[in-house]
Amino acid sequence: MTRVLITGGAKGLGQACVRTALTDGCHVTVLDADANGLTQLPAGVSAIYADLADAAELRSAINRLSASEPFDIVIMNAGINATGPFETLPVERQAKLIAVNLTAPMALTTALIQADKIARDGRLVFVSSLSHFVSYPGASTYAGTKDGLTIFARSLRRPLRRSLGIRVQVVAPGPMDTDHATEHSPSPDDRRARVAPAFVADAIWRNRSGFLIVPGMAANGVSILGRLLPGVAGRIMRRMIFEKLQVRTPVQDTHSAREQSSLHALHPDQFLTEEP
Amino acid sequence: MKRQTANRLLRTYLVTGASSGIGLAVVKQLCAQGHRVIGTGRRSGTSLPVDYPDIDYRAVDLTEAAAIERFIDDQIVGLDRAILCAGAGFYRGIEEECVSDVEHIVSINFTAQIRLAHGLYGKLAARHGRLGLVGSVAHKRAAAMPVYAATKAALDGFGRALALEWQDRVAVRVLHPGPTRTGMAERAGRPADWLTKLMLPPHAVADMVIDGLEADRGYRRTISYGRYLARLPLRAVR
Ligand SMILES: NC(=O)c1ccc[n+]([C@@H]2O[C@H](COP(=O)([O-])OP(=O)(O)OC[C@H]3O[C@@H](n4cnc5c(N)ncnc54)[C@H](OP(=O)(O)O)[C@@H]3O)[C@@H](O)[C@H]2O)c1
Repeated sequence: MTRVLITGGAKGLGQACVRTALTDGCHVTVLDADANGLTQLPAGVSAIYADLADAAELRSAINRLSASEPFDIVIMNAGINATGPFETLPVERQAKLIAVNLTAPMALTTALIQADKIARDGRLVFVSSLSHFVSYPGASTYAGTKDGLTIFARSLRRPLRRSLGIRVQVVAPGPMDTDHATEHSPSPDDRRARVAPAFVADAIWRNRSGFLIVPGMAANGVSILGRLLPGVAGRIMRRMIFEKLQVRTPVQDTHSAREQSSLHALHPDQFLTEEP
Repeated sequence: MKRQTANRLLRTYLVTGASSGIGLAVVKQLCAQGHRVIGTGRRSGTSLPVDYPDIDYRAVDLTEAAAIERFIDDQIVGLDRAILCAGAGFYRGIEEECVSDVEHIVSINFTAQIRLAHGLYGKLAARHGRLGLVGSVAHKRAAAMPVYAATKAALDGFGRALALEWQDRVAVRVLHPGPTRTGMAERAGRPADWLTKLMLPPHAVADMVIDGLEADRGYRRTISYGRYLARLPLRAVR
């Protein structure tokens, strides 16, 4: 039976991945900081509780994983966001964001590889963000963590393929229709313009070989714009996100495991591409 | 170097990583230009090189949040420029990596820069200042040091977004040096070889970091060998 590990699997995109994996007949392990969410997982799913921002809990999660059977698919999905003008966001919140979004997936990867817990021909998938291509003023630290994670994956790609036969992949979703995504959006009424997490989960499932997965035609168009005209993309993001966030009052933060880019004006579609 | 003093504004600079390598070279250059420099490094003032310039130097461990706060509150009054050079890395693949080193490298290369940028914002904004983040060409990828590459990419992505946020208040520039002859590569675990001799000289990188921070546009600048060679005739003329 295919064994799957999903971090942040209690809600949002992680939860959608859990469902897709179960439909495919896999055995699923979920690691999450949402104790309540973990009790509501479908039957047969193994749960590991850990707040990845906590160094001691990260270590106990690593110990649990090191004692388990190897995984065929690992999805590093857990991530949090904090939006607002950088200087007004409490710095401890940003440090926590770095711990969860960047330090934890790199530490978990290190531990899994060293304990030989990713099967040969297995997949190691990192959930990044469309912000990698267009920047994300109004979530500067978040944008940094997602770029860091993407380049970590890029750096591992060849060595892990050669030495261990593991396929490293990055998924860069645009805005998704997850429960709390609206918290980070400058205009919370735009849910229809977002892709369903199940659509992104399906894209991850079907795309077994390419390095970069950008689900949906809108997200693809945005990623191409960002690559061809980074300056223009940055200015658009500033206008669409940052300037609107500046007028919104209190600072927001969430602990769940999902993506919250806010390219809300664009319309998602059913396509999927990978880097050549 | 001194020739520029007359026609340049004298400013107050903060330089981190001022005890070694690129940061040290930046300090020397700035002092020669007559600027006021506040420098920090991890080592104590007594362990600095004997010819260390006469500046206000403080030992601060930038992986300690409280130490950063204390330092900014106590030491920084007016500030025009901050050049954040402190950083470290290990030259090793993921098979040889260890969890506590991952935490440490993220902490010094990324989290510390976020804390400094956050703490220095008010002081820099008050003087329409500039923030320079020293990255690395590894920000594009580095199979031989994935964790280091990730932290430098994170710094680049952070700087890109922050430059857009602060565009009319504080200029943000990310400066990415190529391999530089500071001994960092050896400390990172890469044995010295013939390539070491070909690395960029720290004083040239320091020049380009200081100039790059003043660039009018573009948040990112790569300090490459090509750029170094192109500047050589310029140096000779000056
Ligand atoms: N050398 C290269 O080839 C190269 C290439 C590209 C980018 N870079 C980047 O350029 C920057 C400077 O590199 P370098 O070659 O000059 O390295 P270096 O000679 O090793 O200097 C590193 C500096 O960072 C300080 N530092 C390290 N950990 C610290 C901590 N926890 N708290 C406070 N300060 C700390 C060190 O202080 P102490 O020495 O007092 O401990 C030292 O001043 C780094 O960000 C590096 O990543 C270097």
